[in-house]
Amino acid sequence: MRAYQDMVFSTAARLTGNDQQAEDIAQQTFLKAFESFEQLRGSPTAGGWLKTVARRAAINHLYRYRNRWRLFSELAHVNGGEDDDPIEVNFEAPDDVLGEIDSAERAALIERALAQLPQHQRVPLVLYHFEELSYTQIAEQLGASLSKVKTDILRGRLALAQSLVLS
Amino acid sequence: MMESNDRKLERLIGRTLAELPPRKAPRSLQVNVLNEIERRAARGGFMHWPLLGRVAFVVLCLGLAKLSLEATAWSASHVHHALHVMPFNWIAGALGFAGILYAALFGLGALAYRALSIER
Repeated sequence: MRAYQDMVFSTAARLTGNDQQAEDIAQQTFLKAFESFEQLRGSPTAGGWLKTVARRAAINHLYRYRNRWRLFSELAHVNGGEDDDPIEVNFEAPDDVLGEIDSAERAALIERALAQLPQHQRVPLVLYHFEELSYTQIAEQLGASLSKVKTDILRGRLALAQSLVLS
Repeated sequence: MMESNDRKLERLIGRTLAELPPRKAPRSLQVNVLNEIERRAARGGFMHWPLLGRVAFVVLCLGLAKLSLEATAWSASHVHHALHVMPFNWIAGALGFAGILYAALFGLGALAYRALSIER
C-alpha cells in the first residue's frame, strides 16, 4: 500500500480538487484492492489497476449529481450556446510560468490553481494531462460530447495559465 | 496564429503539469484503511460464528420455516372456504381497493423520492 498510496491519492485529489473527498476515495480504492488481494499480489499491473479504480471512483463520486450538472450545462447552451462556440485563444502563452520560484512552492501554486478550476474544466483537463486519456475516451467516461470536452479542456488550460501567470 | 497559440498553450500546460510530483497521501489514510480491514475481519461472517451459535441459528430458521408453512396451509384452506361463501362483488371490491392503495402508495413513494432525493 505504501508504494501506491501517493499515486492513488494524487489521482483522486486532482480529480476532485478536495483532499477530504480524495482520502475517502483512496480508502475505498485500497479496500477494493484488499478484496482482490489474491489476484493483485505480485501482479505487475497492480499500479494500473489501482489508478483505474481510483479514477472511476472519483468520477462516480463527482458525477453522482450528473443530472443537475447536465441541466445547468443545457441552460448555458440555451442562453448562449457557448459550449460549442470555437474559442479564440488571444492569450500569448509564455515559454514558462512562475519563473524562478522554489520547486515546492511552485508545485503548491500549480496544485492550488488546478483545484480552483471549475469541476467541468478540471476533470477533463486532469484526465487528459495526468491520466493521458484521449479526447474521445474522456467524452465516453464523462458522458459528454467530444466538442464540449475539447472546449472545456481548452478553457481549463487558459484559466490555469492565466492564474499561474498572475501568481 | 490561433492554431499556434492553442498548441503553445497545450505544450506549456502539459510541461507545467508533467513536472508536478505526486501529492503526498495523508498519514491517516493508511491507518484508516487498516482499521477498516480489522473492523471487517472482526465483524466476520456466519462461518466465523461460534459452533453453538451457528447450530442454534439453523434450528431457529428451520422452526420458523415450518411455522410459516403451517400458517400458509391453514390460511389457504380458510381463504378457499371464504371465497366460496363471499359474494363476488365483495372480492372484486377488495381487490380493487387493494390495487388503489398500492398505486397511491407507489405514487407517494415516487413523489417523496423525487422531492427528497433527486431535486435536493
